[in-house]
Amino acid sequence: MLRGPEARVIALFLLAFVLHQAGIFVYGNNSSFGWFLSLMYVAVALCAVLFIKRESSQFSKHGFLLPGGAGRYVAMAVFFGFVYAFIMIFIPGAISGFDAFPGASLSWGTFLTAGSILLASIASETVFRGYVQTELEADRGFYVAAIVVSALFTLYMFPIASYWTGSLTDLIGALLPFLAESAFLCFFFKEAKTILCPVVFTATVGLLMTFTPLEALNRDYTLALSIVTYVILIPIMQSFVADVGHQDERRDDTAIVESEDQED
Amino acid sequence: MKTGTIILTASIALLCIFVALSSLPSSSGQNEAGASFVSAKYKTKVHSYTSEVWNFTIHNTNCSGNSADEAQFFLNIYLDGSLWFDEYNDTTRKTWPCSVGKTVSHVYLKDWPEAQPFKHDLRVELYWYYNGTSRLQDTLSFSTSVGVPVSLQHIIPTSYLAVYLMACALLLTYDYVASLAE
Repeated sequence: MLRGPEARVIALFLLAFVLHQAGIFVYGNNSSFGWFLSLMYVAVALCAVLFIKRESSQFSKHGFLLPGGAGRYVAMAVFFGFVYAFIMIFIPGAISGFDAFPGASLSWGTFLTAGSILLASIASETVFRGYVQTELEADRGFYVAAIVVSALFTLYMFPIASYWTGSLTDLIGALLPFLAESAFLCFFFKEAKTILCPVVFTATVGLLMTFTPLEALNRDYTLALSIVTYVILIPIMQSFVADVGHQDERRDDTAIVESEDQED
Repeated sequence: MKTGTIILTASIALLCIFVALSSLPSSSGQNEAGASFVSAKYKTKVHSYTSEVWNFTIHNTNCSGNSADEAQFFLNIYLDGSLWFDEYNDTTRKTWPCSVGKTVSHVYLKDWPEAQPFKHDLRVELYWYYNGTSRLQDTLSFSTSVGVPVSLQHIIPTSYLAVYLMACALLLTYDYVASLAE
């Protein structure tokens, strides 16, 4: 019988999984039910907040904090989102050519779609980085936490109902990019210590991939390209975050010295 | 975590699922006593160089026919507000049968000879043909974006490429300036 953090993690995961898959299933059968999918995202995020509030009441421990130099963190997350979307759209397209679709119009539906993408990012990152990774990392260390979180995140994100008839090879191929994405986000959260970065990154990627009306004609290698891109982005992201972190530490040291001077 | 909180959360979730599932039929609801669309399979994104297949499934609740309860139906399809396909007048079969309580599926093909990317609004109307008159039973609306093949040198990819590169340059500049300011 599981007890402690593992039991709470599994309970929250199952709740989030059922809500998300129900949202995907309903929306997949009827595209006018986008509001229901958004409602499920809100419910998932609220579940995570309830779990955090009941367990520790320390939201900052779970990444709900605005770090010093928050602007740089946001800019960095948006930058990596642009880099990822650029690689995924333009490299396959430059090789095989593009399919150009009409651009999004300024309509109510466009705002709803954008809102839904933002809610999806907040929901998934609140659960998987904010709660699950924090709880497991404190108990089992980062690498075990990252592996478990990535496996759970993949199960959560994958549209099981619509992929039921696919072959096993296709299934594994489709699952791997989610694992790579989750690994990147785990490292991002570990380095930045705020869920602001993973939320902004996933929202940026989602918005760009949805509203850039270009698709590569040949997308045979996009899954492999996605995995390679995330693997390459991890060390680059780490060096960027380390630079911002050092600035933060210097600012904190200066603040301490100044306060000591004032005391003297 | 208290059991009460979990039960409350699960109850709210199940209520939301129930409300959504109980209102799943996608058509317009003008079918109180006739026939209606049960499902429609179509793509929201299609290519200009391929044919699109629409598969409409219709259920006859209680539209009767002249013989053996086999009612006759046909579809009208409107493209961007104009009648594009009148099944009764444009085809030799004019109508197709569906018995009371039965469900039938019909497939329609559409080519999109577009030179530019375009978004089309479609409305499908289901008519019951009885005693020389047509009676509207149900309508269905959806949109389809038609994509055209272009190379990287075309204005559309080039402009988006420029926006992406400018955004990356601006973000890096902001990061550099912010690091100097700190």
